[in-house]
Amino acid sequence: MKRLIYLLAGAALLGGFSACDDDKDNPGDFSLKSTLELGNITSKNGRYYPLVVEETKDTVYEYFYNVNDTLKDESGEPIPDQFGDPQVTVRQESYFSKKTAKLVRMKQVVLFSTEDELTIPITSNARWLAPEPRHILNGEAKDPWLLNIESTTKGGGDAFLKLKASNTRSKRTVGAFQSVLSSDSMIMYIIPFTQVGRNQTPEGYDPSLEPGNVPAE
Amino acid sequence: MKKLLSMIACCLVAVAAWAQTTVTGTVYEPSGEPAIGATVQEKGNPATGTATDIDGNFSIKVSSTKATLVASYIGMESQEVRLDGRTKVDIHMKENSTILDEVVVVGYGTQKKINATGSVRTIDNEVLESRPISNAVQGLQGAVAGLNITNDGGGAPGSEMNINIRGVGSIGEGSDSKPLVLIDGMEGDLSTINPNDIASISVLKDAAAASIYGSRAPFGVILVTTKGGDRGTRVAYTGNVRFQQPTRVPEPLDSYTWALMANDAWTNGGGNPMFGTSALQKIKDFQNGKYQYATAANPNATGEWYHDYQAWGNTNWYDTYMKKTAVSHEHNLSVTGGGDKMSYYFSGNYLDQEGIFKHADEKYQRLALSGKVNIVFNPYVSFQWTSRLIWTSNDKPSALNALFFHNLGRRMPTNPEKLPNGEWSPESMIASLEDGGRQKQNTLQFYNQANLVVTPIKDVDWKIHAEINSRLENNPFTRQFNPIGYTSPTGDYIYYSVFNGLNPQRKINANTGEFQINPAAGEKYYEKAFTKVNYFSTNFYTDYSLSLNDKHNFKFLLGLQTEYYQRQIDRMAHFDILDPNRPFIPSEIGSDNAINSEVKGEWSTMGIFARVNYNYMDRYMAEVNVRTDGASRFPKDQRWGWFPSFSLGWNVAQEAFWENLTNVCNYLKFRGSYGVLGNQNTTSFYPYYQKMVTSGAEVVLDGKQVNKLPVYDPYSTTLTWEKIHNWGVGLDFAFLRSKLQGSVDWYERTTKDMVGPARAFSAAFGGKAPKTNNAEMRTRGWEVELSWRDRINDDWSYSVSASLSDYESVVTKYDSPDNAIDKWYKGKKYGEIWGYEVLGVAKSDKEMAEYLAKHSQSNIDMRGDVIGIGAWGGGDLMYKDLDNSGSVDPGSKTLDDHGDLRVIGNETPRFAYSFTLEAKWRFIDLRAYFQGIGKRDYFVGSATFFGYGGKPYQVTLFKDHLDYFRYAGSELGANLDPYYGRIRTDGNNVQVCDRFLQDASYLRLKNLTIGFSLPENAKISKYVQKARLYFSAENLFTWTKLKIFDPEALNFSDGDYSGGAGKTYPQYRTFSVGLELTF
Repeated sequence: MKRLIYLLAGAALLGGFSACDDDKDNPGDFSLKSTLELGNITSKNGRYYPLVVEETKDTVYEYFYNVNDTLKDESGEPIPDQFGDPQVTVRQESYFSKKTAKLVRMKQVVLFSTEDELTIPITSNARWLAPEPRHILNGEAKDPWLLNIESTTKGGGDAFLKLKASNTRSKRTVGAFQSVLSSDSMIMYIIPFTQVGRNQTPEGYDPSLEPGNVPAE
Repeated sequence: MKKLLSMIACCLVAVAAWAQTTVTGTVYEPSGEPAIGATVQEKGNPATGTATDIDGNFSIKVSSTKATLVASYIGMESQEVRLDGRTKVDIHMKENSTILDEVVVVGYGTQKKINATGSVRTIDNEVLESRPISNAVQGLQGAVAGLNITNDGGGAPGSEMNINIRGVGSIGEGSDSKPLVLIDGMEGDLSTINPNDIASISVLKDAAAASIYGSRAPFGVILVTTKGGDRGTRVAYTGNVRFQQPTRVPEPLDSYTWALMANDAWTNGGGNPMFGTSALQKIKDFQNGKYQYATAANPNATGEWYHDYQAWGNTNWYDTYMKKTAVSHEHNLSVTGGGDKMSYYFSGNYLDQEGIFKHADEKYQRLALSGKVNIVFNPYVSFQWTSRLIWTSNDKPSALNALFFHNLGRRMPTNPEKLPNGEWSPESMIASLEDGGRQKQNTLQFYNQANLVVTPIKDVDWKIHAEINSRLENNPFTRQFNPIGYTSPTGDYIYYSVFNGLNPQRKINANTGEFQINPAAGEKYYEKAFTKVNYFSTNFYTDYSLSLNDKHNFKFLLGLQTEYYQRQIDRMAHFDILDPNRPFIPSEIGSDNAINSEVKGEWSTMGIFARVNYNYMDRYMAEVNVRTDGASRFPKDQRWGWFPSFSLGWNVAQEAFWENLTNVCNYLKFRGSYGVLGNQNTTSFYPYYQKMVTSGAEVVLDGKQVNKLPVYDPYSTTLTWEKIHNWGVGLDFAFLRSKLQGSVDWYERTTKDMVGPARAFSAAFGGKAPKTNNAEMRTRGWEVELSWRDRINDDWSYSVSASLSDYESVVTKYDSPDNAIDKWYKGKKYGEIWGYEVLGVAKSDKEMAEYLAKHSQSNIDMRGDVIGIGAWGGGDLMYKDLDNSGSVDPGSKTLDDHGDLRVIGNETPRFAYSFTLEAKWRFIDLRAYFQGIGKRDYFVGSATFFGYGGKPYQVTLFKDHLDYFRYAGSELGANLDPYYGRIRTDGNNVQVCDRFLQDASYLRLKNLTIGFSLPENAKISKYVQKARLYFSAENLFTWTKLKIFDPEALNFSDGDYSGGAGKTYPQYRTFSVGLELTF
C-alpha cells in the first residue's frame, strides 16, 4: 500500500509542478548608481586643456506642477464667469526630489584662437546628455562660436564628447558653457569656455602637457 | 464529480460480495519440475490471486467451476485453463515464446517477426488508448523510431501534424515525401480516423518493406489495421472529459513598463520617446485607478478615440483572449461479436473539442461510424465488408487565422478592450472575432471496402484476394466577412476591416483556386466551396506458402493494383450580400461582386508486383520484390518504371552452435536490404503540361482591373520518376527469455532524379523555368529501440521501453548557377541556418566606436559606422568579422563569397527519442510516456523574439524582453550584461546570428495515465466484463531551453497567412478523466 501511496503522491507532485510556470523577473539592477566623469580636453591641433574643478555641490531638484481649482462661493457652488462657464484658477506648486544630485562646475577653459575640434573623454556607466553649448550670460541661446558635433549630443557609457570651436580674430567677449549630465540628472558638469585673440596665449597654458610632449611611460 | 466518486465507491463496496468455490492443483515448469511461486488467479478477477508453494501446489477460491484460471511464472508464457466443472487441475507452463510467435503486418499480408527481413515495426493500439488526443497521429508521436511526427503548429483544433518516415526525402520543389497511409489496405486519412477503431499500426520503413506498394510508397508506409469482429457479443463504451490549458503562453508586460521600453526602443532607434512625462504619469494613474477609461476623444483628430501610443490603459491581451480552461469530451461505443461463420464490429465515435480563445466560440467536432462484417461462406470462400463514415466540422471565426496570432502579440497594452461608449475598441480585434463572420470547414469521408478471399484448395495455403475500395469525400467550406465598426466620439459609425490594418484585396490563387480576400471596411462577403474527391482502388493478388521438409519455407505473392483519384473544387463568392444572418449567393449576370473558380484534376496508377520470401528453418531468410508501375503524371514515354528490391536475414540464435546461449539471447537477427523505388508524388497532377495562368494585371480599363495572360511556363518533356535508392542494415535481438528486446537500424536513402527547377530563363522571356529531374538528395540515419518487460511478483509488473533515432539530409546535386546560400546548392544540409557570429554587446559608445574603426558594420546599418544613440553605440552587437576584411558583411551571399556569414545551426529536429514507463499493481496501472527532440536549432527573427523586429510598428514586448541592455539610471534598472542588445526600432541588433540561435530541443511528459480497473464480483461480472476509470494528462510537463515559446508551436499556416513563433495557436496541456466499460 505504501508503494501505491508513493506512486500517487509522486504523480500529484508532478501535476503540481506542471501547473507552475516560471515567472519572468526583470534582471535590471536598481542599486547601480549612475557615474559620470570627464577627462582633460585635447584639441585636434594637439593642445591640452586640463579640466579643473572649481566647485562641487549637492543639489536637490525642485519639481513644479500646476494645481487647477474651480472658483467657488461660500456655499461651495462654482462661480460662473461672464459666459456662464466655471472659473478655473491655476496655482503653481513645487516639491523637492528626495534624490540628491551632484553639480560639478569646472574652472573656465581658455582656448587658443585657432582651435578647431576639441575632445573631452567621458567615463560613465550611464546614458548621458551633452546639449549644445549655451551663451554664458543667460544660458539660453546657442553660442555660435562653440558647437557640439551633433552625433555626440547624447550617448552612453564611455565615449568622447566632440566640440567644434571657431577661429577668432580677437578675444571672445561672451563665453560659452557646455553641460554634460547623466540622463537621470543625478550628475551634471558645467564647463565654461572662452577664447583668446589671434597670436595670444591663454594665461597659464602649459605647453609641456601637450600629448606630443608627454614622454611615454 | 461527486457522482463519479460515489459510483466508484459503490463498485468497490460491491466487491465484498463473493460466491466462492475452492480449486486446488499443481503448477509445473516445462521441465516437469514443480513451479515454486507461480501466480494463479481467476481470469478477470486479480483479487483472487495466490502463489504456489514449494511443491508447486496452490489452492484458490473462484467464483464458479466455470471460471478460467490464469497461471503466470517469471520467464514463462501465461497459461489459461478452463475449469469446466473441475475443482482440481494441473497446469503446465511453457517457455515464453513471444518473439517466435510475434507477427508483423507487411504489405499484402503478415509475417512472423523473426522472419522479417525488412525494417518493419508493428505496434498495438496501446499508444492510442486512454489518451486525450484528438487524432491518431498525435498518439503515434515518438511511438516508433524513425517515424518522425513533428508539430510546429500548436494545438489548433483540427490541425494536422507533419509526418515523415526516416526523414525528408525531397526538397519540396515539385514533389513531396510524405509516407503512404493505408487503412485496411486503402489510402486514408490518419488524422480523421477514429483512434479507437485502430487495432494495430505497422510502419514499413525501408525499401524492402515498402516496395510492394511501389510508386505510392517511396518514403515508407503506415499500415493501419482496424478492429474486427470476434466470438461472443461485447458492448464497449469508452469516454472521457478533457480540460485543456494553453502551455507556455508569453507573459505580457504591464503598460507602464511597456511604455518605458517603447521609449527606449524609439530613442535608441534615433527617434523621440513615444511617451512623455505626462503620458507616463497618466498610464500610472490609470493603473492606480484614477481613470475609469483608458481612452477619450482625440481633439487633434476629430472623430477618433485615442489609441495605441496615445491611450493609457493597461490591458493584458493574453488574459483577454486566453481561456483558463477549455472543455472537450469524447465518447466511443462499439459492438462486436460473431461466431464461426460470421463476425462483426460496429462503432461510433463522437469528439467535441472547444478552442482556447475567448470571443471565438471555436468548435471542432468529429463523428465517426464504422462497421466491419466478415462472412465465412465455406472453407473456400470468405468475404469482408468494411464501411466507415467520418464527418468533421471545424467552426471558427474567419478572423482567427495566423494573422490574428501575429496581431495578438502586437496589441499594445495601452489600448483598452472597450471604448467609453461600451463598444469593443477597434484595436482589440474582439469585434472581428465575435461579429466579423465565421469560417466553417466540414469534411465527409465515406470509405467502403470489399474483400473476397478464395482458398482454392482445402488445406493448402494458397489464397486469392480480390479487394475493391472506394473513398468518397465531400468537403463543403463556407466563409463569411461581416461589416464591423465603432461609434466615434462625434457619433458617426466608422467601419473597419475584419483584418484591420491590411489593404483590401480580391485575388484568386491560380493554382489552388482559393480566394485571397481582405474585404474593405464595411464590405460584406460570403464564400462557398465544395471539394469532392472520388478515389477508387483495386487490389488483386494471390499468395501461396510452401514448406519443404519443414526446412525450406517459401511464400509467393503476385498481384495487380490500380488507383484512380479525381478531385474537383468549385468555389464561389459574392460581395455585398443582402443579409449576413442568412447568407446566400445571389443570382446575377455580369456582377463585379461575384467571384468563382473551378479546379479539377485526376491521376491514376497501375502496378504489377511480385514477392518471394524464403527462409531456411527460421535461420536464413531472403526476400525479393519486383514491381513495375505506371503513372498518369508523366509523359507517355516516361510513364513506366521497374523498381526492384531485395533483403537478407540471418537469425544467429537459430543456429545449432547457439543452443547453449539461448537462455541469455534467444533471438539475434542480422538483416540488410537494398531497393529502388519510384516517386510519382509530384505537386502538380500535370507536371508535363504547358500551363497558362491568368492573373490580375496592373492595368485599369474603364475603371476595372483587367486580367492578363502572361507568357506560358514551358514544360519538360523528359520529366520522369524520382528514383529513391534505399539500403540499410539492421539487428533485431531478444535477451533473457525476451525480457529485453530491441533493434538497431542504419540506413541511407538517396533521392535521385529529384524534381527541381531548371535554370532560370532570361527575364526577357518572362516565363518560369520548368521543373525537371535535376537534383539529388541523400539522407543517412539510424534508429535504436529497446524494451524491458518483467513481473516482480504476483502484484507488480512493469515495463520500460525507449527509442532513439536520427537522420541528416544533404543535397548532393542541384543546378544552382550561383550557389546562393539562401537557396539550394550542392552540399547544403537540409535545415541549414546561415548567420553572423556575435562577439558580444558593446558596453559603451567608446567600445563600439573602437570596434567599428576596425570592422565596419555599415552593411548592417546603412547610415554607416556612426556612433550615437540613433546609430551604433553602447548596447549594440559587435558582429564578428570572420574573413578579417575590415567589414562585417554578407558578401554576395554565395558559397564562394559569403562574407562573414557561416552556418550557425540547423533547424531539422534531430535525435528524436521517447521512453515509456509502465507499471501495474493489482488493479492499478500507471503509464508515463516521455517524448523529445535531442537537438534542434531555431532562429526566430521577428518582433515576438526581439521585442521590436526591425520596424517601428512590429512591436511585441514580453517580460522576457526585459533582459536588454540598459545603462545605470534607467527606470527599469541597469542591465549591463544582458541577453539582448539595446532594444531599438531599427534592425541593428536583430540580424540572424549565433547569439540568438535558440535551442529548440525539448523533453515532454507527453502522457501520464493512472488507471483503476475495478475488480468484478459475481453479480457484476454477469453484466460488466471490464470497468476501468483513468486519469490522464497530455503534455503535462516540458523541459526546454527555448525562450518564450512552446517548442511545438513555432510555425502556423492557415490559408493566406502563416506565422512563426509567437504567432501560432498555443499548444495544450490536457487533463482528462475517462471511463472504459465492456459489457
